[in-house]
Formats: sequence, structure tokens, C-alpha cells
Amino acid sequence: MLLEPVKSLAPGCISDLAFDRWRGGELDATGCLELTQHLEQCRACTARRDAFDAAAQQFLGRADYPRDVPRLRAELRQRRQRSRVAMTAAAAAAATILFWWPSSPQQHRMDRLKGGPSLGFYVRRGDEVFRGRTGEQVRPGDQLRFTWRSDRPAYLAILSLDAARTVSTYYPPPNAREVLVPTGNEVALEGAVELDAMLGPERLFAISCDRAPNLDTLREQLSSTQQLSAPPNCQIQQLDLFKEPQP
Amino acid sequence: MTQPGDTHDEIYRRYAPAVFRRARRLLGADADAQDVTHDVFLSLFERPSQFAGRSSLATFLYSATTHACLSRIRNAKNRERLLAAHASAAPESHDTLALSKLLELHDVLRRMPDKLARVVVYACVDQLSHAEIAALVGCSRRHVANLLDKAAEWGAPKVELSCC
Repeated sequence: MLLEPVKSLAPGCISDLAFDRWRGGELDATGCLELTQHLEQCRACTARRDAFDAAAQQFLGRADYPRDVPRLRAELRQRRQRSRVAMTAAAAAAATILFWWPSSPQQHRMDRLKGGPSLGFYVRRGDEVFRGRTGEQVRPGDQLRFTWRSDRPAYLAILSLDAARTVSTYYPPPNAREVLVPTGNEVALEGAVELDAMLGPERLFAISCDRAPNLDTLREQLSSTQQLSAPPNCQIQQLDLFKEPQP
Repeated sequence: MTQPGDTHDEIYRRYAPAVFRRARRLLGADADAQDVTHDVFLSLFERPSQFAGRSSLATFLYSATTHACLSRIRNAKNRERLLAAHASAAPESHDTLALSKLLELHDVLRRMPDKLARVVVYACVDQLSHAEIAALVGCSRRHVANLLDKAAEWGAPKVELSCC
């Protein structure tokens, strides 16, 4: 059965969104003036304004209202507490390195590639695998597999700095000190990383060098300054992630 | 406009009534609307960066509330809860849809792709302009008109233009 047609607001009348922006203090002086001038002429919009104000007063006047925000804060604290407990209960490393790759063969094309070297990654979440990009919203338990694109071989390291300022080494894997990654369009890097429970922003640093870099020095620099400057004959690419809680 | 010093209390006081109002209109039950309001602000306070850089918190909250409400509507158990809640509820206010119309609307929204469902909510429940919907959904006004035509094929109400 088709629902009955809905009438749009009359031209010039104030939408619910405009009313809400006005009450939120978001309209500039001109917007406020236009809105209030319209209210002086339009009974329908005045009636809607009065209805919205009455509904807002009813919401704010509830006996429960004073407990709303404290309840939100309490739940925020509990969530952060659970994240910290989960982190300390995990292995000493901030991330667990696993090994899997559902599909996708390595590509070793020797064509000339446009642009500089570039880090990419895939995210595995349950049965779902998707390509990630900078700014990606990830979750604790997601697994990341990295790819590298470059037109010349390079020693590669991937470090991570999370919201707690903990530095982790995402690449090379624990059993390798230095890895020379060959040229290719999307070379799949060995190993995958399972994200821990630390929520918030996380920055990845891909350091590619002509010679194997000193990882201890890089980790120390990142840990103490939260920044990395490229050693000689190295390039650094940054990728940002945001770790959100499980829904 | 939110200022850096605005507290959670201030932001909640200014915007929660509107979030609750919309959720109540769309879901039809106070308890569900209260849950959605709580969840929307919990998400905002936990991850304020998801709002960072945007100019209108009201617009952001419209999108977040719609998303939360549609998730609930798609939950089959919500229909049973709504029927039970209305069995003993107070008479409907002018701002609520009749139960039968609301359940029909839910059936339509449940079947639709998410983007279409959101556009239908903004056009038919919030009565927003095509320009406002385009800004919320991130497309052109022309595309909004096309989406509404497509939505009508799914059983959504047609939107008729009014004149003064």
C-alpha cells in the first residue's frame, strides 16, 4: 500500500533543521534576523516554534533530566576503563602480529610507476576484507595487512603511535630485523597486525630507506617526541587511522 | 555554533531536545527515543573528532540520529515493542504519526537501501528542502529529486510542493 503524499513546507517557511540550528545558536546575525522577521508574519511557523519550545521544555523538565549527562559520563568512563584493562591483559607488545592472507597474489610488475613509494593496507574484520585508506575508522580486533608500492627496492619499517603514545612496530615482523621490499605495484608485506583495544587516533609511519634503518633509534625518537624525521636516504609516509569501539 | 569551551552539559541542553523530538517522531516510542538520544550523545562525546571540522552540530546530529533510528527500525523486534508500547500509551500528540502510518513507514524504510531511507526521512518526516537534504546526504539537489522519485517506487510517500 502506498503511503499518502506528504506536503512540503510552504516556500520561505522555516524548516525543522533551521529552527534547531537557530536554537543551537548556529545562525549568524542575518540568519537570525530573517528567521525572526518570518515568524512575525507566519502563523504556521510561529505555531511550530511554540510547539518545539514546549516539547524542549518538557524534555528538559523531566525528573530524569539532571541524570542524563552524568549517566553519559559514567558510561564513557566505564568504556575507557574496559579498554585499559583489555590492553594490560594483552601481550607485552601493543599489537599482536599474526599471519594470514585470504587472497590477492603479490604483484611484481617492473613497469615504471608514477608517483613516489606508497603504503597501502587492507582491513580484515570478521569475514569482511576491504581496502583501507588514511582516515579509516578501524576497531579493536581488526587485522591489517600492508602493501607497498615502489619503483625501486627499499628497506621498509612501519611504526605506529597510538593515542596513549605507545609505539609499536607493525613491520617488519618480529622474526626479521630488516626486510628489503622488492619493486612492485602492490607488494603484499609479510604478516598481519591485529589492532589492540586502545581507542582514538593512531598514526602510522612508513619509513623506506636505501639502507636498513636503525629501528631502535626510530622507535626512541617517536616515543619521546611523537614525531619522526626522515634519516638520510629515507622517506617517511604517514597514514592516520581512528580506532572506534565495537558497535 | 559550538565553542571550544562548551561543556557536555551545555551541548546536551541545547541539542538533546531536538534529537529526542526527531527520534520520538520517527520511532513512535519515548523509551526508544530516549535510548537513541543517549547513544547519539555517547558517540559524540566519546569521539568528538567525528564532528571536528564540520560547521553545524545540528546537521551532524540530524545525520547521526537518522542513522540510529533506521538501525532500530531495521530491528524486527522493534515492531513488536512499538505495538506493545502503543497499546498502553497516552493519546498521540500533534507531532507524532498515527501508529498505522508509522508502521507502514517503517516497513517501507526497512526494505529500502540506506541512502534512500535517509532521504525519505528527511523529506517526508522532517519536511526538509532539497537543498538541506542534499547537504545532509552529500549530493546535488537534482540527485535528491531523483532519489525521491526512486523512493516512491519503493512505496515511500510522494512529496507534494505546498504554496502559501
